[in-house]
Amino acid sequence: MRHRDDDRDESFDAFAAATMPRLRRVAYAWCHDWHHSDDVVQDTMERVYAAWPRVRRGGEEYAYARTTLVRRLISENRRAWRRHEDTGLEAVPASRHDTAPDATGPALERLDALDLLRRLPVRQRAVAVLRFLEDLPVGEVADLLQCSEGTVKSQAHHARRFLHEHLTDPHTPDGARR
Amino acid sequence: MTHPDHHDHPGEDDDRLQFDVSAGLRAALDDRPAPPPTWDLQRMKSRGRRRRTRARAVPVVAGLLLVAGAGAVVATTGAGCPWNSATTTVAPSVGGDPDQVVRDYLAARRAGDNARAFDDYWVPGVGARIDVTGERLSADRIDVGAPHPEPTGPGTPAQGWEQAVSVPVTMTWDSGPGLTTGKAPVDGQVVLVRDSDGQPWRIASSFLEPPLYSVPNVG
Repeated sequence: MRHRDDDRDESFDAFAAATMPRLRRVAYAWCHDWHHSDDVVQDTMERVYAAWPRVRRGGEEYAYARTTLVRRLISENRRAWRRHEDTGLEAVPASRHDTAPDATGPALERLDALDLLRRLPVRQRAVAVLRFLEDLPVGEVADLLQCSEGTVKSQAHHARRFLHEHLTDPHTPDGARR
Repeated sequence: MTHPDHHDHPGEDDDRLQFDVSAGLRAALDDRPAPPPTWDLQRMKSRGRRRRTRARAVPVVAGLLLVAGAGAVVATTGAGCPWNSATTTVAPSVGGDPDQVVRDYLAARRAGDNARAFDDYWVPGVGARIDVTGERLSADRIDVGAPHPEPTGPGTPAQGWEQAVSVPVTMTWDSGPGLTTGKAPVDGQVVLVRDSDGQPWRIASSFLEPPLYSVPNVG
């Protein structure tokens, strides 16, 4: 029993070392708060560790961890107590949340991709993180966010156009900047 | 980075976009100063173990609560089994004549009050028989005759008892496991026993089973 526990811990430690920084980046892109990202990643990995033998047998450890993280972030977005952290988004009238990015605040041309990402409505931002940062196919994003593939395509399209419009610098030779 | 399978919109606009959003996001993340992580792997694993223990304990506790709840129902209602009827529909005729005991017993059986019927009208120790025959009695045109003495010698249903009577019963069986068509006439008897005149009559044997073959509709 002891040997089995040690083996489980070793495999989990190796997985955690490789995975947690990546999950941290995803969480940060989502919530724009490093400390909160650490909390979310830690909570996620607790859940993964609790189910580790089963997760390991399934053979898709990272996908499991990412799904756990995303669901945690989604549930958090629904909680009122986190809203004060989302001032850039919550300042936008609710009716605009699912349709248009927030064009208020600092001049958009001075913002980088992450700042612009933060100005996207919540659902568009979630789709953008999963599609553009994690390179997930449409179907997987739809499963994760529990919406239709058409919704994912539409949200990704709007997010990509918004990011492209404000990140493209017409004065540079390649038409783009960071 | 390009996404050859990422056609996010039916239109072709996205394909013409010059800027690679993925690369922009990754570059911005790389450029963003990040403090060292604050997580603690050992603490995380410790909490994960507790979470796993809780996850395993919940079904066990739920099962125990379910069993305890069922036990409480049985204890408070007095029912032998929760799935048997515990509704009392007929008061037991403790000191009645043998034919009245049989009438009350059949009334309880017809009402589906099997637990009470078998507990109150039968002699103790017939639990196995109750489990087999414990269904609602579906019968009508019941006629209970006058009791007549029944022998108590060896090999009889009343063996070992001081007094025994037999009560003839005729009725029409409306349905039953042995009946495939129509109604069946039943002509049987119920044997009641007791050890002294002061004791109530209790059923020791009942020959009121439906015929185990198909019969024509007589209703």
